[in-house]
Amino acid sequence: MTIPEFTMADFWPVIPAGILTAAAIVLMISEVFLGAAASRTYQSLLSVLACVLAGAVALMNMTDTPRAVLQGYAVMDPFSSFLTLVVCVGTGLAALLAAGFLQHRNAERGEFYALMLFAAAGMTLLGLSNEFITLFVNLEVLSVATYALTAWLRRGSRPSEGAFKYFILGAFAAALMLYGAALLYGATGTTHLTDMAAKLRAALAETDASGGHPKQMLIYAGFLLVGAGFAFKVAAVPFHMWTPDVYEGAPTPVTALMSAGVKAAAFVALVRVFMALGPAVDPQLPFIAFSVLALLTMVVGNLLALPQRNVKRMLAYSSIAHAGYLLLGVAALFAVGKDAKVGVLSSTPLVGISGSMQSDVYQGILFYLLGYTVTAIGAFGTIVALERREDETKGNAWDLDRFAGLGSRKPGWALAMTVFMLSLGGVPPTVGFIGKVLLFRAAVDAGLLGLSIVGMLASAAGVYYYLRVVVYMYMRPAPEGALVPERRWTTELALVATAAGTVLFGVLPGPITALLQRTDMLFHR
Amino acid sequence: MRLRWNVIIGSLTIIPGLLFGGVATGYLLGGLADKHLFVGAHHLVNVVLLLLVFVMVIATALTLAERKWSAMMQNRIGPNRARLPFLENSALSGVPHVITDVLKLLTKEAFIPKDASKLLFNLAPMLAFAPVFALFAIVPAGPTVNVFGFDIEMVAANPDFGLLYLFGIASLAVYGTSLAGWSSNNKFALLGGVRASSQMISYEVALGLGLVGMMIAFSTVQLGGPAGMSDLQSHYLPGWSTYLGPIDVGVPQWGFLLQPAGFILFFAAAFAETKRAPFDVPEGESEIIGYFVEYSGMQFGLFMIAEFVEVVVLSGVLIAIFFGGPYLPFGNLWLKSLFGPDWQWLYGSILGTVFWLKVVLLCYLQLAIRWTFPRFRYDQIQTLGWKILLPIGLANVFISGALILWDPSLKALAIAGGIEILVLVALTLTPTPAKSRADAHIGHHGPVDEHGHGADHALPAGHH
Amino acid sequence: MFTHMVSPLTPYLPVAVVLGLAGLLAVLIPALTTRLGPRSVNEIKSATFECGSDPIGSARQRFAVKFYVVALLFIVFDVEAVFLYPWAVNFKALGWFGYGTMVAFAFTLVMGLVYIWKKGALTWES
Repeated sequence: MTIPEFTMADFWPVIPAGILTAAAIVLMISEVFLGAAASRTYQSLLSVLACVLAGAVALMNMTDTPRAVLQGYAVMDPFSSFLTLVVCVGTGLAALLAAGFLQHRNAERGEFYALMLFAAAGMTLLGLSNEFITLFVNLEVLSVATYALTAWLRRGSRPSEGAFKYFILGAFAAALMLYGAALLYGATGTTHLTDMAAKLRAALAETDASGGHPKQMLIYAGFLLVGAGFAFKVAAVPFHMWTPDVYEGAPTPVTALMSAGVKAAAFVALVRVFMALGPAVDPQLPFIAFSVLALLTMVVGNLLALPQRNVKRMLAYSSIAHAGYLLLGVAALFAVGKDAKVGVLSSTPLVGISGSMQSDVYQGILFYLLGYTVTAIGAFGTIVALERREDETKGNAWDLDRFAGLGSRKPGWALAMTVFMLSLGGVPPTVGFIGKVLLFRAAVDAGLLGLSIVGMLASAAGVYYYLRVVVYMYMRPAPEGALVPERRWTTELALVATAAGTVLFGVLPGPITALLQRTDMLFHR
Repeated sequence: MRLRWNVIIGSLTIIPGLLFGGVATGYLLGGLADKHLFVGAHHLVNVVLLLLVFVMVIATALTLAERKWSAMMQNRIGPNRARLPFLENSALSGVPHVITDVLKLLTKEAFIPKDASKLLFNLAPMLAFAPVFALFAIVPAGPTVNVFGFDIEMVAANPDFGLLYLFGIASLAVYGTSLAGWSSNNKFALLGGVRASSQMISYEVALGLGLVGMMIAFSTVQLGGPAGMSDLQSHYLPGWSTYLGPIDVGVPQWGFLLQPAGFILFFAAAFAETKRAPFDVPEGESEIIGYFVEYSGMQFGLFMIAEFVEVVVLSGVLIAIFFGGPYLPFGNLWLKSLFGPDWQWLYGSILGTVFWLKVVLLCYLQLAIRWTFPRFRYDQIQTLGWKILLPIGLANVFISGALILWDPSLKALAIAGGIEILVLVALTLTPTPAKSRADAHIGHHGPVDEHGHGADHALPAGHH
Repeated sequence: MFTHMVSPLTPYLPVAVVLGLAGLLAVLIPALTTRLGPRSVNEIKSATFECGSDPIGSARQRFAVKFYVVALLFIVFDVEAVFLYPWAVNFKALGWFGYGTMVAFAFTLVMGLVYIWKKGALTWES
């Protein structure tokens, strides 16, 4: 038997996940031993501290040389390290929001934060998985934790409905993905992404006696199933049906975490899998698939969000739309090769993108993920600040009327929400604007002009429903007998942090873009 | 009580004699099979001999021994009615009851309650019996010796997955009990089945953890073969052996010395798996009868015989892992050197007899435990499994592991094991202070009667 | 004769024979009793036996959730034990590094055990 040699260099990328897991265990145990303590705010702060530590390690890892670690089961590259950073930012902010939210409902328990941190650990590990089984296990770690978090508030039918839908559909999607991975394993005999890519080409070219390609169907079916599994996780149309109900039913801080962290992790894993395997098959194929998904997701997500008066639901649809923009970036990654001719809705001939252009696309995707994480958590945070436990069963807890007159009642909150809405809509000077600029510019450079135009039009339509919230806040009088929102310092701290981040990165994107300006974003062997 | 010397002396000669004859037959037939059929055919002889003859005969004898032994402990006479033809004047210590029991069970009506699920009802006793019967296959009952030029292993099968077979097959038995409980459509049976399956899976964890220490010490999961746990225990700890004249003596690396905690864990857990008192809440003759309440005839007989087969198998496994298999604690080399190359089968047969005598002794120990301890309450059973055995098992694995890494010659482990044994003996000999005894009896459960009939959690009514 | 019959599966042949024999016995013994025994069915005899009183309701009813919890815990800790076996067999080769990794793994699960213990999942008295 050969004993693998591990050095400390192998463990750096998993240290953030280790910190998160350790903190989760501490929280879990502290809950049972200190359960009756008067205040549980320390749990939220401990979670934030763990996220800060993990994020700091991830930031350090950003500058390290990209390499395969742990016998190739994982990779350490700026792509995954940045995802870890994004996840830590998102989880820390969501934990901060959760403190007030849960105290208000007398539901603050260590297990909540523990589950959150377990989910976060799963997300960070998902980003660096370079092997299908590792990837699947980490996907399940994050999924199972979020299923449980969705059902955290057991009052009323909404949380259980959301959790059950999420669980059943999520399990189904996970099974699809696992089945697809099994088919790919059957065709290549390996589950390591890098090895698989090398063997896929040979497997595709294999001919049988009658001159056919016996493994072709196997491989394409595998790709289809893996893609469908990922499309579910990122909530791409037509795999988006669960999103509104789950987002609405889940506790709002969890919704924030789902819209930011889960989605970001799933995107990073998707890019890693398809960038490793896609070029081995015809690159046209993933390009077309992702272009169609992006088109549908952008258009349908924005259209469905238009009529929503329920702000939480509107944000759920908006998160679908944002997944569409990100998918546009993913499609752009595949517009490579001189002979690439087919472009969905493209008016310029594809000339293929060079390595540096590809890094532009990575930069766009990652910057967009960070921007969306900060903004979406801020937007959900405003809802956290406004919603009242008593209204949850009535169904109007998140109605636009809630926001009416907020500009005069709580000018600070209203200002923050305005910033978030502008950022989601892609209006300068916010991080959402810079993100869209980077992403669409990269897509246009890659030749996806038509698709980019559709995206811009769709996001212009999106500005309508985002600004409607702003209109309600500043131009409608507060309804009679509106409850005075309770102030909690943790929630307000999160709002200030997200709002400041949204504006700051929008005005000065320099440090982040400098961090992302690397040609070796994604590690290839 | 009058000591019946004729019975005692008779048993002491007849039982080893029969065992010796059986083992010797096994070696010789095995040698012949290898010579005339194909190499490895002796395993098939062993399948018949060990499983069908030795295990089944001992298990059948246990059905009588259990009644006779309990009668002696309770100052009764025990079964003495059945007589053999021409020997009507002697009860023969009740031995004819073995035959009459089988005949009675076979000729009773096997009926199925009208509400039961027919297929599952019929399937359950088979699923309870078959895995238990197959378990003994990997237990080596004698050393490997050369007979007629062929190496004869006294084991039915020696697959490389060894103990994994044991765990895998043993865990199947839970299907029999839970299916019997459910398919009978009887509330008592359901309760028994649920209790049985819950108890069995609870103790399976401790069962598995108990053996990890031995796997670490010997780096194998095999029982038989030259690198198996059974043969490795015939060696002495390095440097701790000498010769007294021709006889070799020393400290053997028996599992019991290396892993006393592992032994206790495994023994307790396996005892719970047999569902015998004090772990007999799933059956509890005096309260819910058990998951087999609706069974009759030989279908019930299968559940019963499975229990006794389990007793024999458990003894065999314990001996193979913790008590040196067929080997004596010392003098094995000397014994082997007594016989010439053509007479090695005699050496094997002597050690085989030693093995089966150890098995009989452990069976006796199990009977004694079964008739000594009162029944645990169900919550006590779960507490023992999860709160005591599981933590001890984990601690044992890691402490033993550290000792083995520190001193790969296993001496440190043996010293630690010796200390553990001394501590256990001291604890056993220390009288319980009167105060804590009263606490244990009353506790916070309120008064509990002699048999520990306490909370019954599956049925909401009737408690507190 | 089969003197030279050597196949990689030969060591497993006795296992198959044992399993077959066990199955055969398990089927034959109850089959024998249904052939040898008498058969007379009547209403009262085939009713569910509940100590003589008429059964109330079906036995197909819900039972305490504790049993399900035990099943869940079993899965967790038995899988842990299963992970321990291959580690144990290669223990000496893996050395202190392998020991350390397994300690970390077991520690996580022990923390889980502490949690469920303090949470009361192992407490049966109500």
